[in-house]
Order: sequence, then C-alpha cells, then structure tokens
Amino acid sequence: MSSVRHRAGTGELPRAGGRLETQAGAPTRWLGSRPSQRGWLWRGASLIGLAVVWEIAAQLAGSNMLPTPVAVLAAMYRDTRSGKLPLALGITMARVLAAFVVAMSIGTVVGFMMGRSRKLNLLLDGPLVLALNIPALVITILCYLWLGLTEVAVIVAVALNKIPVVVVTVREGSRAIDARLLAVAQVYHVPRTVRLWRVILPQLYPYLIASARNGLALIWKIVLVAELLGRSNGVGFELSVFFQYFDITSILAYTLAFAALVMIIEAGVMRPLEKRAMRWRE
Amino acid sequence: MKGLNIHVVEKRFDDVVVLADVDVTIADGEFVAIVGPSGVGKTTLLSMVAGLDADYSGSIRYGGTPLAAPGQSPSGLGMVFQEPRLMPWLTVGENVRLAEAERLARDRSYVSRADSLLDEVGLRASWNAWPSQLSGGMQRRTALARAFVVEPWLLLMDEPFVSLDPLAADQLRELLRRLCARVRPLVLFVTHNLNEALVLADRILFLGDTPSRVVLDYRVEPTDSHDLNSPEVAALSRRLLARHQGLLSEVSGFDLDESRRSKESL
Repeated sequence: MSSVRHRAGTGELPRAGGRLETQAGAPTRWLGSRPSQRGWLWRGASLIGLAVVWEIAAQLAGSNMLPTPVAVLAAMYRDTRSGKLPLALGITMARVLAAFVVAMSIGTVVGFMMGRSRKLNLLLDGPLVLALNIPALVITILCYLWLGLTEVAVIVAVALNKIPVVVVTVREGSRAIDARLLAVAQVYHVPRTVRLWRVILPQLYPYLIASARNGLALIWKIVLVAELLGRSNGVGFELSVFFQYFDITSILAYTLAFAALVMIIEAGVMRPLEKRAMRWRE
Repeated sequence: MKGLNIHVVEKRFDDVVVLADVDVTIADGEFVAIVGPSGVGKTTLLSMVAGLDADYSGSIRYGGTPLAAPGQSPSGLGMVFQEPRLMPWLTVGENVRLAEAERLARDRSYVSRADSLLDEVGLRASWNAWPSQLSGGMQRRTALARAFVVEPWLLLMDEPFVSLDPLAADQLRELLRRLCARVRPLVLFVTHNLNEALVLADRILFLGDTPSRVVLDYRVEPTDSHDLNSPEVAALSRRLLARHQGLLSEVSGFDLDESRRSKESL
C-alpha cells in the first residue's frame, strides 16, 4: 500500500502552498488512484476465487460437515433478520473495543517509558518476556477465577493478553525517538503538551498504528475464547452453542460476519487514520 | 558586569578533556564567530551555552547570574543547527510557530509573528508546504525564521550554511545579516570557513590546542565586502595570518583551501 502512496505523491512536487496545490492537481490524484483500484480488484478476485473453490469442495463433499457458501449466507441472512446476529456482533464488538482502548492506553504509556528509561526497562523486561509467553487461555481462566464470570474479567483478561505486545512495539518506537528534534523542543521551551503532540507522538505514530492493526486482529480472537469460556452472550457464546449442536453452517456464518466487520473497521477507520497521520510523507 | 561570560574550567567526554580554561566575555549584540579544526569542541561549546549539555565544570553567566538553570535552555534563545531540524510532520508555518508555542501559551495577547517572519525569509507562500517539499536552502530559511520568530537576544548557530551551494549560502548570509541588523542578538556562530567568519563577525575566537582553549581572540577589521572570495576578504585573511602565523599554525582546520578552490572554479 505504501508504495502506491509514494508513487502517487511523487508525480509533481508542489513547490508552494503544498496542500492547496495538490487539490488543484487533479490529474496527479487521478493517476494515483489507478494502482489502488487495481489492488482492490485483485483482493476481490482472490476472495471470489476462494468462494468458488469452497463451493466446489462443498458440492463434492455433499455433507453438512462442509456447508456451501450459499447456505452460510442464508444462515447469516436468517439470523440478521431475527436480530440475533447483530446483537451478538454488537456485544462482542463492544468488548473488543473496550479491551482495545485499555490495552493500547496502558501498553503505550508503559512501552514509552520503558523505551526512555534504561532502569525501568531492566526492571520490567523480565516480567514482559514472561507475560508474552503466558498462553491467552491461561490468563483468561485465571481472570475468571479471580474476578468472577464478569464483564470486567473479560476486558481485563483480553487487555492483559494484548498489553505486552503493545509494550514491545511502542518501546521500539520510543527508543527510535530523535534526540535532535527533542533538543529543538528544549531550546524553544516548547510546553509539555505541545511537545507531546507535535514532537513526540508523531514519531511514535508508525509504531502505534502497527500495534493498533495487529491489536484488533489479536483481540477479537481472544475475546471469542473468553466469551466461550465464561459469558452468556456475544459471538463466542453463540459459537459454543452451535458447537454443541454440530451447527457448522452457523459457526461459519457468525465467524465470517465478524471477520467482515473487522475488515470494514480496518479499511474504514484504521487506514484513513494512518493516511492522515502519515500525509507529510507524500 | 554586562555580557555573556563563558567560563569552562574543564569539559570531558569520558577520559578525554576536550575543553579547558576557556574564559571569554561577549558583549550584547556582538557577532562572534568560533573557528577551529574538527573535533576541537566548537559544537560542544554551543551545546553547553544552549543548556543541552550540562556535564562540565565551570559556569556560563549573563550579567553575573547563571544564564539558565542546569539542564535548561536560556530563555530568549534562538538556535540554528547544522541540519535544519524541522519537524517533518509539521508544515513550514507550523514549524515556525512551534518556537512560539511557549509564548502563545503564556501570553494571551501575543500575536504570532510567524507570518511576518516567513515573509521576511521569502517563504510566505510555502506556509502549508511540508519540509520534504522544500529545497535545502528553503529548509534553512525556515530554520532561520524559527530562530528569529522568538526575537532572540542570544543566537547560536552551528555551521548553519554548510553543504549548500555557494550561491544559496551567499543569499542566506545576506538574510542573516538583515535579520541580525533588525533584532541585534548576541551571536555565537560556529564555522570552518575563515572567510565566512571574516565577512560576518565582529570578533573571531580561534579554538585549538589539546585540550582546546581559545588560542586567539581576534577583533575583525570591518569590511563592506559580503563576498567570501573578494580581494578585500582575501587581504583580510592574509593580514590575519601574517600577524598570527605562529599562534595559528596549530589551528589548521579553518578552510582557506576551500575558499581558494571555489575562487578558482568561478
């Protein structure tokens, strides 16, 4: 994706009034949109190809162990109309977002400080490696045992699973902060908040974006496990019910629906955010 | 006593003493060039004055009181580094305003001077451009605007015009002269190039010896020539060298060769 953006940007360098001129430079933008459209074509083609292969395999198998894509879509439609699927998606998504916000906030602060302080890094590096190696399932079970089968337990368990990963990424970013730019901020007595938003955070954005992207994918997988183990609603809970009834069609329907939702968030929120944060590279 | 007093008893990096027994006093509004070979501690000296390096024995005072708290930068300071050091994610205008952020936060009636400074350096039209869209010369103009937007009483410049083509460097020197004439800061200007020091400065401090000290404190004869390669400037540097040949023999770093080369190529 990034190579596409660079190509689009290097067409002609607007000398003066950068952003204003790019707006006027419609031809550049039009040329730039072509490769990304081709990208979507390929993406779509590969997904359709996958569906075709699936359909053929399901026809050949001819068993309810592998339902056809059409049957899965029908199940999706049925449960969407009844309201069961949107409700489950909504509940699970709320948990994902809550855990995501908690994990990103704590992970960013801790990772940033570990990257800036050698002592703190030495102090916390051992526990960090340990935390990275504890299976998600263990943390989830322990949280349920300690905090009860509650909403808080789910959020805490999922956040605990994600925090070490955020810490590792953000720590890298905070180590890479350019001391020469910090010196500029010091020389001009730039106030703390301005320093944070205009000098420090922009240097961390690539790392924050990377961990947010991985984060969303990782977190929803863990949330499903946590729901399956200890909640009575949400996609994970529904899956456990379908599991007991051998309802493979519904399992696939719910999974695909949620995966699609995550992809929409990725394309509709994450990527525009990244583009905005990184627009100065164009 | 008025003026900036830089008194370095000793500055070391690990076991190596880089600067020792430096004691100079610089008057308000004076333009002082610091000349000497690479590794002599010119940049280190600037960092110490800027409050970016507090690890030395000695004191830097203004009018008898410490210039700034340890590890802090003095207020009213402008600084231009060897590289432009612009924030690549801020536009040209935002970069200049960054230096005003403290003033803007402290004083509600303060009106940003970024526009007029960008006007002065000829970059008004580039307010919204990213630094990566600018040429090297334009980036340095932005850095100059950023330094002067705070109306500094103290301006530190660390070889600000190296790695520019001679024409762009000439233009920037002219711009610097104009800005200094208006704001009249006390300037410490580090350079390799003796001729550049001769056309810009009122006074030249030659650093040399091991550990480094001020081997010669030279008051520059005023000249109207702004051209590094003019016969007047060549005569100035010849006279300087003739008079202080012995003292300066160890200070081999100021680049007479470079100016001679560029004269031949012209």
